[in-house]
Amino acid sequence: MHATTRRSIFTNNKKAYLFIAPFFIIYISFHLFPQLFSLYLSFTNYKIRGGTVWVGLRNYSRVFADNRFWQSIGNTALFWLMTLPVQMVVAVVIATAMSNLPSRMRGLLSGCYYLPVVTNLVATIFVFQLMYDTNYGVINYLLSKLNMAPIPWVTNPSWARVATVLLITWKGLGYYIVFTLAGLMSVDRSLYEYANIEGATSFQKIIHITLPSIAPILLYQAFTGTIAGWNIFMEPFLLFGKTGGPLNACMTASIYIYSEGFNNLKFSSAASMSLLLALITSVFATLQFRLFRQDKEKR
Amino acid sequence: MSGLHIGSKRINRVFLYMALLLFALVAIFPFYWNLLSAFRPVERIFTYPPKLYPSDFSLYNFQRLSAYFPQFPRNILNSVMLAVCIPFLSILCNSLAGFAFAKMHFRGKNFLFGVVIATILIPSASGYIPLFIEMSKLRLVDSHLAIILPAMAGAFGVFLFRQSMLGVPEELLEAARIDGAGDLGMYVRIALPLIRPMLITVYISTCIGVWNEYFWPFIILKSESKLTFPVVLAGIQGLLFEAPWGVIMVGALILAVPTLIIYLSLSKYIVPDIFGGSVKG
Repeated sequence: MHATTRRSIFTNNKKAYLFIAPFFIIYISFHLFPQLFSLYLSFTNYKIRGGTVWVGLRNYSRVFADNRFWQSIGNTALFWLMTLPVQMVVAVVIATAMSNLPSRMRGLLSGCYYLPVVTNLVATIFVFQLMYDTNYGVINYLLSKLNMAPIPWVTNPSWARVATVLLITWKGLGYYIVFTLAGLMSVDRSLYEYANIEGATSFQKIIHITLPSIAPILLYQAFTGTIAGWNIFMEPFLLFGKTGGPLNACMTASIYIYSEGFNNLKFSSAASMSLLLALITSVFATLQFRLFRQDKEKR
Repeated sequence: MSGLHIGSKRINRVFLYMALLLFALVAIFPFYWNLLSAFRPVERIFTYPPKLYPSDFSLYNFQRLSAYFPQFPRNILNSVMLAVCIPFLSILCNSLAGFAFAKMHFRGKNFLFGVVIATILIPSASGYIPLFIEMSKLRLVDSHLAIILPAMAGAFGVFLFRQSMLGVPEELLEAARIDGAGDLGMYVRIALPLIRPMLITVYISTCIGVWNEYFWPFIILKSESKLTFPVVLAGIQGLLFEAPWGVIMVGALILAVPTLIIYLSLSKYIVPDIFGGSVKG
């Protein structure tokens, strides 16, 4: 018996390749290959029916000179900055408040907060469009009760951005709350008792115990949230279509890439843009690690 | 003085509860509004002031469903079929690889796992254009296979399964081997049952994810009979001069209700444990 065990530990178990084969065949054909193909596309003027020519960096120089692309990058950055930090801060506040509640109450509230996360976005968009309606929408009706003038949610460029940000926040906040709360609940309670003995204020407790303990979760949220934020597509696309709404105010980079690629069939220029976007995304995503490490050093 | 202090604390607490409840109300209000509008005659949806409570109950919007979505049962069936198949196939594919990476020994293991980890965060958005070209070369445009195949393999899934299968005790595998089980036997009879809670979690969240998926089906599917329901519903708005809001609200309800039911009945598998700490304290 021992001999067989030994063999399986120290020698090359060829059966393992059969175990990993299904995954790797599909992963390479439909995930890795498209990425490499995208790189190739970006150096050509690709035509689906043949006649593709190598053009070197011409796509990239064209993209760099394309004002609409940089506008869409600006819009994307705006959405990222208006949603992610707000969601994370609000989530920490709400989760902290919830952590002192009786557990039944906590479960009920987090159940409510998480509902939007699992809901279909298409359904969400339609309901929000109805609620955002300037003349008949329930949001403007409720605002009128507070003596506020009707807001042109989807027809004014600035308000269209606000409307998109509110929708993204409504949909995503529960995710941040529930994960932050899970982190808070696993913080060692004796640390707080010790701090109480030392006479720490609740603000000091938050700064010196709570935040450092949940820093890994916050880092994870900032990191994945940055990747998702820079690739934001669905919400503004479903709200406003491929034009990005009034004056293209909500035209994000992904929407622009989509319309160049799938509508104007400029596959190559779209591929170079999406690689640039991936580059920008990874710069900002890795920057999160820097940000959080500096926080730790300051402590 | 101390009495006053307790009093202000209590007031704070009341404010806190109110604020949390208000947030909860905001979170569920759109669902309520969806439900209300779906059962309202369409001319009542656009009246001012809007009625915040149920009124003018009507099933008219439901009766009009097939007029606006001629292939409605078919579209729902497509959605359900994908939402059932894809989680199963992706779990199979990813957990087999995860098991090999966790418990088997072979040449190139570290390198291959490194490839999986290094590519885990490539945003899939940048792959849609080349993937579309690839699918059109493979003549898979307008087929469900074009949705199923890419969804079967995921780097994060392999990572997840490898991590959880690392925890499968060697002694159990050893015992199974003595009983004459091969590698496949150990995977089926020891590893999979031990990670059952995670299997359920991954199945449910993948299932919800596929049901909610809009973009790729929208890109790759063309014929009405193959479309999934979210794509059909989202497509109705541009088609007609005036959007049939009553029917749209029914469609939104149909999209939302299954995930709500799954979520409400199985939330302990979806949401991380928020009760753990209270026992510890």
